[in-house]
Amino acid sequence: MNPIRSALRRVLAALGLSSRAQVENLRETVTRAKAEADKLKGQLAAARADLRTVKNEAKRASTAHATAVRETAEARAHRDQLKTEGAEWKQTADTWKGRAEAYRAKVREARHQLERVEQSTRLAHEHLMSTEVKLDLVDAAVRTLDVRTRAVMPQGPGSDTSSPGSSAKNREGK
Amino acid sequence: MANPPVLSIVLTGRNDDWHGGDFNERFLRTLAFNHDRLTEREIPHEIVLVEWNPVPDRPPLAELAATAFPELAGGVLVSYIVDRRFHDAVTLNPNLQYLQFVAKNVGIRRATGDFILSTNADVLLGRHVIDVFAGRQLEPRTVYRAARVDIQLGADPGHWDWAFLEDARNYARRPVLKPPLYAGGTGDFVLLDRISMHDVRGFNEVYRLASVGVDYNFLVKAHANGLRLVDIGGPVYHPNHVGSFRLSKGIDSPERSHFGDYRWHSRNVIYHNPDAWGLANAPVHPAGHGAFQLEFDWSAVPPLLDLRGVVLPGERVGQVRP
Repeated sequence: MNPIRSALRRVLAALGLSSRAQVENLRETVTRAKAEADKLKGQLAAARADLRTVKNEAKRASTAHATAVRETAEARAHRDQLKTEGAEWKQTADTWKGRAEAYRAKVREARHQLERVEQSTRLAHEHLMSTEVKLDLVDAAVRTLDVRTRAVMPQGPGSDTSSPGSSAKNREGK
Repeated sequence: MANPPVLSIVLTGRNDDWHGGDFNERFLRTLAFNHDRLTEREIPHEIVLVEWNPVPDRPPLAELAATAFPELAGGVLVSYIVDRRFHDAVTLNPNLQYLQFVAKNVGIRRATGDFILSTNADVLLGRHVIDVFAGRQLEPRTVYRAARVDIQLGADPGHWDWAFLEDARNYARRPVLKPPLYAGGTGDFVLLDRISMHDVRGFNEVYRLASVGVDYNFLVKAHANGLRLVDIGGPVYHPNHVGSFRLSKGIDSPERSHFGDYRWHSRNVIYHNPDAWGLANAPVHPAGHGAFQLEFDWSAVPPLLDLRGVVLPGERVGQVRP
C-alpha cells in the first residue's frame, strides 16, 4: 500500500471521515446486508406459513385421531353388542333346532304309525277279499246243492217217502 | 317212450267249435306247427291233450287229432278224455261250460316231462322259445313266461311260418311283460319244472266259479311260494279269433259270462289245492286212438266247498302288492 495514502486515511479517520471507496464499500455492504435481511424475512415468513400449515395439519390429525378413537370405541361397543346378540341368536337357534328335532322325531313316529296303519289296512283288505272269495264259494256251493236237490227231488221236499223227515204219509193219513 | 321227455305241453280242448267256429282246424294246425318245430330241433316232447266236458254225439277231439296225426297218437300225443260228469260235479258256476284250468291240472298231474308247459290249443311257439328249449337252458323253480303276440283277425294266410309270424305288420297286439309277475295272457304260456309244478299243485281248483284270472292267480301263488318268475325272452303267437276272452270280454256281463266273473280277487287271494288235485284219483282206462278215459268216480271229485283252501299269499300278507 502507498504510505501517503495510508497516512491520509489515518488523518481522515482521525477526523471522522472516510474515503469514498470506503463509503462505497460500506454502502455495498449495507445493501448486501439489507438484501440478506430481506431474504431472511422472506424465509421467516415462509417458515411462519409452514408453521401454520403444520399446525393446521396437526390440528386436523388430532381431530381425526379423536374421531378414530371415538369410532373405534363405538365399533367395539357394537361388536360387543353383536357378540351378545349372537349368543342370544345361537341360543334361539339351538332352541329351534331342538324343537325341529323333536318335530322330526314326532314325524318319524307318525310315519311309522301311518305305515303300521297302512299295513293293517292292507291286511284287513286282504282278509276282506279272502272272506269275499269264501262267501262267493259258499254262495256257489249252496246254489249248486240247491240245483242238485231240485234235480233229485223234482216233486219237492216230502215227495220222496224214503227221505228222512218226510211228512207225506202223515199228511195223507196213510 | 324210452326216456321221459324234456318237455310236456299241456293243453285242453273239445270238439264243440266253441272257440270261434274253426277251433278244430286251428288246434290241429297249431299242434302240427309246434310238433314240427320241436322235432326239427330234436327236442324230446310230449303233447298232453285233455278233453274236458266232451260234447255228446260228437267224436272226441282226441280222436280227430289221432286221425289227423296217427304217427303221434299214443306216443308224442297223449290224450285224456274226462267223463263229462266230472264237469257237472266240479263246477260251481252253471254259466261255465268249460273249466279249462281244472282240465289243465288233469294234464299237469299226468305229464311226464321234466318241464311242463301249460298253454292253449291255438298258441304257436316262437322261434326264441324253441331255441331256449333246444339249448336246454331251463332252470328249476323258475316260472317262465312268454308274451303273447296276437295276430290280426283275418290275417291268417292258411300256412304259418316264421316269416308270417315274425312280421309285425300282422300283429294286433304286442305286449311287453313286466316284473315281478310277468302277467298278461298267462294261460297261454306257463312253463315250470314238473317237481315245482307239483309243489304248487297246479292251477287253482278251489275257486271253480270262473275260468279267467285263474292263470294270473297261479303267478301270485308261485311268487308267494318263492318261485322265480322270468320272461323267457321271446313271444308266442295267437291268431285272434271270434269268441276269445279278450274280444268278447266287453260283450257279456260279468255275472252271466261263460268265462265266469272276471272281477274276482285273483290278484290277492290264492289257494291250496287238495291232495287229489288234477282228479288224481280218477280211474284211467284206454279209450282207443292212443287216448285215455277218466272214468267218473266221486272219490276223485274235489270237495264242493273247501274254505281252508282259500289262503292269502303268506309271505307278503299286508305288504304292498307287486
